[in-house]
Amino acid sequence: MSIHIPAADWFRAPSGGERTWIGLALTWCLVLTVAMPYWHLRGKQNSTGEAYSVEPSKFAERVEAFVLSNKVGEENGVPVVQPAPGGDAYLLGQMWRWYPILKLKQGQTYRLHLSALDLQHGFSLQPMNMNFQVLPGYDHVLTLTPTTAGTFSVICNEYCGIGHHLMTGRIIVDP
Amino acid sequence: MDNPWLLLALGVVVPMISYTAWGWVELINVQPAALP
Amino acid sequence: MSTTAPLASAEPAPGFATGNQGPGEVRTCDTTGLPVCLNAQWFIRVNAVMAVVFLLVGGVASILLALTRAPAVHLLSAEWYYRVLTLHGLNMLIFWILFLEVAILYFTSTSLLNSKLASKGVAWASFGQMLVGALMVDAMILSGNSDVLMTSYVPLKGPPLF
Repeated sequence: MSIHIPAADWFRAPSGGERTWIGLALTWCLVLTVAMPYWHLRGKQNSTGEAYSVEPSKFAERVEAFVLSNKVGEENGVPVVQPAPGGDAYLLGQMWRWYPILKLKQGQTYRLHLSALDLQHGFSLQPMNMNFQVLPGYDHVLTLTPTTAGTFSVICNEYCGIGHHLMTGRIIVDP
Repeated sequence: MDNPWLLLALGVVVPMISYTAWGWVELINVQPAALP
Repeated sequence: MSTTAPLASAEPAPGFATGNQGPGEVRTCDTTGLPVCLNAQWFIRVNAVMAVVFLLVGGVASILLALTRAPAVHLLSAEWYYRVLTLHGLNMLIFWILFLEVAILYFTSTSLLNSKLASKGVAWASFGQMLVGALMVDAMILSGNSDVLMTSYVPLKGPPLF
């Protein structure tokens, strides 16, 4: 049902240059279609989406317990905490800070628990630019293995109010 | 199936219901945190 | 491009008319030879003009933002920066684009499909609704109540009028 009936000979099969372009575009589309699930499954900086529901106050308590049991230092008033290798690390985002500073060991695997206490924040690990959403009410678990030693910054990349651009944290990886 | 108004209605209702139901299922499947 | 007779005889599908029926005048464009429904032309113009007005608002905002991010100038305070950023994003991504999109749709639906504007009343109602909505959002942003950028997910909320 179209407004006007098209002419009887409207279809002309593509040939020559048009055919080549269509073929190239189709091939590229197929490559990208396969690339998307492939990278989702085999890419090494993707979240599996493992998440649990949690009360913000309970998460805050757990983070404090983690800081008390694993604290190894302090920087600018923020505790530096070293989780057990293969164990659980906790990081909370709050207007406008990341708490605490984590000290990890290169090559060890940790389960990093991320949650927020007030509203949505964006956990952005720089310079590798790994980004994850941090939501209040949800404990997002990342299975994380640092592959390079050094000091890495955490910034917030989900707007969270007037102090959003000041919300920074740190993760230290020892060799 | 030729009726554009039917297709319009289906195009709104079918995704609305399916995606909402998918969301409900996902939300039911969220476990409370163990916080080990 | 294959040629089609502009007014071929066809069985219209239920609820659809063919060709230039209905009220309203039609003129022929001098450059392209396409029919232009004069009622639709009015709405194309009104929507396109509002579109560039919002483009101007968003553009002025972008100049203010760029001057703030240049360390030598640092024009706006942090609070106003986020406010103007919200204004810039909404005016550019929503108001400018959608008003122009509506203008283009009026054009494609009438001149290219050889039809007329179905209802001036509906066209006025939709334009009025879009305009009032856009003005309400801009007013709420400028009054300082809605520094939420484009990602105002609960619990970060703008007020109900926003």
